[in-house]
Amino acid sequence: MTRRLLLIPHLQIHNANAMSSPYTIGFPAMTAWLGGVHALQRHLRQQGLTDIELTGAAISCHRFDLQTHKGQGDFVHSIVGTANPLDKDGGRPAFVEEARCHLEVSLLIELQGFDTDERERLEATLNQQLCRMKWAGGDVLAVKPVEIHTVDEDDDHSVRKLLNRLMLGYVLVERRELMVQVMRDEGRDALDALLDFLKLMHRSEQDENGKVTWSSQRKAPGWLVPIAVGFQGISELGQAANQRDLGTPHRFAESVVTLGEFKMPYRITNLDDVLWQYHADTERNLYLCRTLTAANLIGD
Amino acid sequence: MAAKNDATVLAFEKKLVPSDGYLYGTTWNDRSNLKPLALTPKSVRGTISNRLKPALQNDPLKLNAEVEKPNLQTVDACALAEDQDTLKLSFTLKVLGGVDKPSACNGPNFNASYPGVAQAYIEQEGFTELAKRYAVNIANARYLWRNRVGAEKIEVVVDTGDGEQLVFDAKQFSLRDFNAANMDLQKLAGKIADALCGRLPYLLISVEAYALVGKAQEVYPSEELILGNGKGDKSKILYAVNGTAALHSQKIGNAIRTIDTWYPGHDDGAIGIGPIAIEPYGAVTNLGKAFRTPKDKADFYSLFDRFALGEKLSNKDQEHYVMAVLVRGGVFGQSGKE
Repeated sequence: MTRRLLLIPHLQIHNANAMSSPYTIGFPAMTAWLGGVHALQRHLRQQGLTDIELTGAAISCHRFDLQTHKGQGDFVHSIVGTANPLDKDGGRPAFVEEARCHLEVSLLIELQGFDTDERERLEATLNQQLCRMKWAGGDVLAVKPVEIHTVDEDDDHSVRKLLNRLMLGYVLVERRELMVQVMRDEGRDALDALLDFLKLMHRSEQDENGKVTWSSQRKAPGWLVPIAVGFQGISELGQAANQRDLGTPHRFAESVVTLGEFKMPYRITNLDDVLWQYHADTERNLYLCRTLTAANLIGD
Repeated sequence: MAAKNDATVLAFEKKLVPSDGYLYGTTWNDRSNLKPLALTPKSVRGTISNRLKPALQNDPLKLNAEVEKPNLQTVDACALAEDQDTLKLSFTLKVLGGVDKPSACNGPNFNASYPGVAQAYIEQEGFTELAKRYAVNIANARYLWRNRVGAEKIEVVVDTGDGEQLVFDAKQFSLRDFNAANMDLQKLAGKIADALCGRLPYLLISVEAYALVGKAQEVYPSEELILGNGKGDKSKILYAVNGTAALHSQKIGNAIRTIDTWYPGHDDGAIGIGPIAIEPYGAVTNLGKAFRTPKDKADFYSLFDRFALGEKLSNKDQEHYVMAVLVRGGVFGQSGKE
């Protein structure tokens, strides 16, 4: 099967929101990236490219510069803050700690409903719009011209060639199945399962001569990180006072946090491993970003 | 009573988007040879020089004991190398249009009237006044901040992306007023106005400022704001990106939008401190003072609530100010409880 993919290479973003989840700081949450892709789709449709659908997105991080500071002898990192403007008396209002980062990423976006006659127009619109957008709350400083690729999924070579365009970097893949497995096999709850994979275990061993050796390891290999991937609705759909959009029903929700892994693109073989998609499970009030591979592994 | 501004969620994205400013060392006569400036931590033995309590001041023994303490400190510093006499600051500035569209808004009254008001302003004024002032602030190198002080010569090279470079002698442009007239300046202002009005999809300006400050002189990158920095022993931490000393983008933005000469008291020699940065309360951080107070009805919110609903403001200057705050961007919603 051939698939069309849009590559946004080397998007440089400044002062992006570095909340990976409500509890952790680091790489911006997946919801931020898919939200940006959705905004891009809405813009394209407003510009008359009404059939275009951006159905999934992969993200590769080339450079990541978290604005924290750790001095000599400090035990923890401190957030490098920014000050709010003075209030009406000229006094300094309270500082709000907000984690920020500068980063450079490439986005690979699956295109559907794309007519090759519109290629030039699409590329021009995208190149223009990308510079005017915000991504993950940060400003776009620079981006290289977009590219549209066609790959044959059964031809490893063409997939590989495209994935190589995401080098040098790390792509974020979903590792929800690790948590599901531990919860099923060991009867842990979700938070324990998450922490199991994030904690570093230091163990000592003593041989017969009394010599002690220490080793440190994690439960599973790989660069595992906690990420926010969507929302769990916790109230009924309805109207709330001062809601943002009066035309859309409102619902209170809390974040869904799961495991992700940063992988070098050369270790990816299947595009579905890295392409994240929206998925709404209305029966369970879940609004998620997920990859097809992870969904199939878990069987939902 | 007239209609009320009913937007409780209201935000505007900034339309002037500066990058961080990177600092390089070079020489005035040979600018091809340039090196990124690095931060150097240094430890010094300071003196006790703060104001002491009267009890200590009046007792010579205690005073001696106090000032004999070694006041050891470690700070970051940044300076040109001994063979460099010129500081180069480079950054880019993106100018966007679309000031007539809030990025988030929930007020039906507001949505019904505001876009028309903004478009009327764009039609009448075309952002020429604001664009000219921004252009002057690019040309006069205000964004060098302390590095501008004592510089013998300052040259600003601006590239607006059409291949032609505009060169300004920054010392020719005043920091106190915006009366400059110059062909290149008009060209730059015209482009900025086009982008703000939406006639250009966006404008990307790259700016290089050269300041002749003298061999091996100290230069001043931004200082980092670190809260809860208890244990570390460094008392001043400067900003660097990938090892290159830098100025925060916010600081460059503040310098470029220092165009407010319409605040109460500007013409009063005793109070007037020249242009201040565009801020909702006319706040000047280093004075700890807000020049536009709600008491005078000169603050942004008092003016904006009337302006956005189509009411005429008493003069053009107030409209310029309101639009300049929207170009600056921010969250302007009010509490829904009232």
